[in-house]
Amino acid sequence: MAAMTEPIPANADQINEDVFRTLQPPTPLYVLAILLMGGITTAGVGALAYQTYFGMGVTGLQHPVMWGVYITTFVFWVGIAHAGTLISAILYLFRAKWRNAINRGAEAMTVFAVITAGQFPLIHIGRLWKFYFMLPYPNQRGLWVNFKSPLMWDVFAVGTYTTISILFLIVGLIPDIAAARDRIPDWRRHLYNVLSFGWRGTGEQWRHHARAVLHLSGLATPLVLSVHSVVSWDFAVSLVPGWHTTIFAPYFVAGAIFSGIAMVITVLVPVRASFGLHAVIRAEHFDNMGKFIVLTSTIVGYAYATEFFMAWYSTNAFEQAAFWHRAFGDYWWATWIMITCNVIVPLPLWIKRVRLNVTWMWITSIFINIGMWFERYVIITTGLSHEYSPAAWGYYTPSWVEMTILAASFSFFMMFFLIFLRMFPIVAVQEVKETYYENEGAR
Amino acid sequence: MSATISQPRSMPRGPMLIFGALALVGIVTFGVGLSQDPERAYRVYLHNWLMWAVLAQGALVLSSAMRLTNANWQGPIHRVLDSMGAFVPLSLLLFVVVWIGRSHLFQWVDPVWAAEHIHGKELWLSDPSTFLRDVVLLAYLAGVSKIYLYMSIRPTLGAARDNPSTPMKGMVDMWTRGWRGEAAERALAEKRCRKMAAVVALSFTIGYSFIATDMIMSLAPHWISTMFPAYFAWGGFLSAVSLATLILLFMRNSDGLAGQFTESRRHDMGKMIFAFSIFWMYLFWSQYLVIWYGNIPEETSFIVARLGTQFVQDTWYLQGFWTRISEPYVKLTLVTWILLWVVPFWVLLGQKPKKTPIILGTVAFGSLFGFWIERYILVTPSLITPEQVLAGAAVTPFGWMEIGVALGFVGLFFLCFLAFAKVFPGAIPAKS
Amino acid sequence: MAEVLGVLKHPLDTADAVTKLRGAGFEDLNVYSPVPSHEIEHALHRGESGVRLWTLIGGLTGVSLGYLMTIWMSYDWPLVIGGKPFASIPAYTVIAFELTILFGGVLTVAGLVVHGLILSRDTSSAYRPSFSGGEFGCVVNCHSDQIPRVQELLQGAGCTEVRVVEG
Repeated sequence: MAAMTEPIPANADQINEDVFRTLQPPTPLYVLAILLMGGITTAGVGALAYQTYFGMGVTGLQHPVMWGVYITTFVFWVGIAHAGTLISAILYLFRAKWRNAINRGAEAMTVFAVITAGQFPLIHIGRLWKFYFMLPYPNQRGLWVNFKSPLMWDVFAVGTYTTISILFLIVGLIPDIAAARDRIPDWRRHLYNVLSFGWRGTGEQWRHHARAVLHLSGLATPLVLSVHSVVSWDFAVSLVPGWHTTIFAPYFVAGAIFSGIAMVITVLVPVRASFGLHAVIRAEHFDNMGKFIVLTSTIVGYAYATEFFMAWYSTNAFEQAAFWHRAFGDYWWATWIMITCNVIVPLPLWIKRVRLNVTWMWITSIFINIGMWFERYVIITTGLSHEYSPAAWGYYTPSWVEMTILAASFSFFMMFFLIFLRMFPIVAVQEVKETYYENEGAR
Repeated sequence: MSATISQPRSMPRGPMLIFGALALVGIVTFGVGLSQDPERAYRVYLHNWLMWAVLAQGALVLSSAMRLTNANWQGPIHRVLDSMGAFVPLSLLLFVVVWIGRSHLFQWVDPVWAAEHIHGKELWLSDPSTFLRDVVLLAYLAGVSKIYLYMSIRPTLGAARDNPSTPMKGMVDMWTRGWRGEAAERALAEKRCRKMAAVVALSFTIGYSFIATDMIMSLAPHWISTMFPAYFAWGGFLSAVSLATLILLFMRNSDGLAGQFTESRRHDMGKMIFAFSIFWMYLFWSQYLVIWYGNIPEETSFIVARLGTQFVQDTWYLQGFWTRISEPYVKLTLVTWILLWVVPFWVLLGQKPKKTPIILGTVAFGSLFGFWIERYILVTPSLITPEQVLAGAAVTPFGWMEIGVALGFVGLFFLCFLAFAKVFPGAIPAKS
Repeated sequence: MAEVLGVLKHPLDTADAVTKLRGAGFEDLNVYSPVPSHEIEHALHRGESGVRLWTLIGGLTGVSLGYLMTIWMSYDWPLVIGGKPFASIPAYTVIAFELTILFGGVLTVAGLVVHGLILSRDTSSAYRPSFSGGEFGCVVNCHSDQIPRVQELLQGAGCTEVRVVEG
């Protein structure tokens, strides 16, 4: 088996060396990648400036489809953010040791994905400078924000999620930054000196640290369920056929974890290959992530089936029409991309040999990312384009502005991830070492 | 260890007598009930059947889940879960009674009524086809369960196989055909069970989703909720976790289990009840919030029948709270909510209570009892609406018929549990 | 007073050393570890971390604030819609929940900063960079006349190196 032949770390110092290899001075390829990502991001900023200057008319958004690529992308990135918390908090509580080679990468992805996601509601409102309307303060007439609106819930949910995921990342990073401080001789040591907050790994410090991580995990676990549930309620509490359905919350959460884990694989496979982290991020990690993909893909498939079944069973003409339209209407192609990528493509992952095949996992993960983006696209656009009155039906085509900003969201995310990669240990050294001492490091 | 627990032994007489008596009480009560008030008798029967059928299957899902997640739970504890699954085939048989009583339970079995009221649903809900579908599903589930049990139990049958006086020797021989020696069998069982575990879990979810749709949702034939099937199945799983905890706590000092249900495992079980009850509450809430916010009469009718008018959209305030909370079924629904979430959450929040047998046991029992009421609440208000109650229809979860039939199901469940131990001595140690 | 440093290679050895030293009456100990270790924590026997309380206070603050803020703001400028109550409890539950987590999490980290980073700040010269790599340190504060005894205990516990840091 592939897992057997891969090297395991020789000793604890080796783990430091392996991981800190990512902190070496950048290679030309890395610089090129940063430049490319920066370029695409700049194009996105240009498109945004264009949109801001000329108004929302430059997008494809028009009656009746007033939510399009921006909201789709918002939901997509919030979803991506979920894997980090799943891997770091939930698996921590369940004491699944395999998580520790990938949790740091996943946590960092969470932070950048949430930050990416958080921009889309702002882009979507068009008048960027009015963002503070979402904060709970009274306007000139003394009127407060409407807490009954799910969009307000979103502000709180995503705001909390951003804060907690950043704190989670930092708390986990402190001991590793201390290790970097003791090892990296260049200018960054001053940065590490500050960011390690005087950490020395004393018994006293670890005691409080362990307690804090436990509590943060305990808080982050229900948080991760709530965030995507709240996002799902943006749709589900409305009365739009195809949106108003009770299963949305757990279905969205499962989909979020599904896409998030896929994104972890998409990102970590190249990182592992280019920095030779094979001893730390091993095939067994992909095997385990593959199991999560199988599980969540099944849940998502179950939700699709339930929705279609209930629409038919309801004998409600509007529900039936909405789902008929979804599968065979104007957006049939998007729906079938979604079903193919999310339910059919992951099927081979039921077989262990396939899960251990890193290349296969990587390709599958890319398909899942595509499929999950289309899932949100399908839900949003098919729902809005065919509501109750046929006189108000429409078709939505995204404009180049939206597509540019969508592309820029990926490059924006990747750019931050690449920078993080060079600045901080991408693998939770302390935890990998902990497992090392528990398993291989017999006395 | 395996040598001592694999020896055939007689059934523990005390429990057998008690559970036999309970089963008898149930059968007699049901019989008398049928002659007096068949509607009520079938209603009570359906409620209890739902509770125990999904629980037994849920126990096997728990066993599967432990195998899939590499949980460090060895032999005897798996055997307890396996024995709980012994009720699965019987639940298929008991379903026939629901079929017999169909005209007392389901309005839609009357094609004239169906054509008039739920036109379009006859394709899904009609007299023989719905029941045939469910029988096929339950038979499939029983088949899957049997295969899983066979794989799981087989390595423990070594001693029984060599002993000519084993009860049901023929079956034991059949289940140990091609015996490879205990060590090889154990390794093989572990591998096979892991494969089968995924099938068990998946079949459970799909199977009981349909049962929930056909046997509960269809009682209120206009109501739909995409969450409901998953919510019901999850409840079944959680009730199995609670009962497994309770059984393990009761038997933790009996011979084959002694030293198995350690403090750290009690802690794990406590964590499971804690986490899964939060998830149950989450599912409950997610379903409720969407219906509450949407405020479509078709959807809220189901909530109003159970939670009254206090918790529908515009009456979440204190004025008139006590009047509205005294509407039929409302307090009962709130009790389930307290037993299934409030108590497990607040009591099991710390580490100590999870490890303390008496506290953990009380919470587990409360959760189990909560599910019994919850199943009652899912079934009854659809058949005896609050309006009917207000007009004078007598309805209580604690009448003689309700309690009697419930005891009967408890008796039957544990008779299966003990019988399984009789036939497969490695399965469960007797109480010494 | 003197500081004696023993260098070890494994968390379990370190935990053993701590147990032995505490058994011999040396309570003023410090351990450097590159990894979190239940065994060391157990051996040091320091009880529950004060971070617990911070989380609890944060969570309770968050949940009360969530409900109070939303309800108060609804009544501060009442919007009359079809005779419905101004405050909408289920909708506000979502916000109260998020604020519970937010305040609970932020105060947990604040507790970590106070207890773990400020109050237990370590400036001993016994620290060396290898303690964030693959080595463990066990520092004993003792009277100068007890140094030989401590050295002996540390040697016996399997230290690869024993050194008096200052004395």
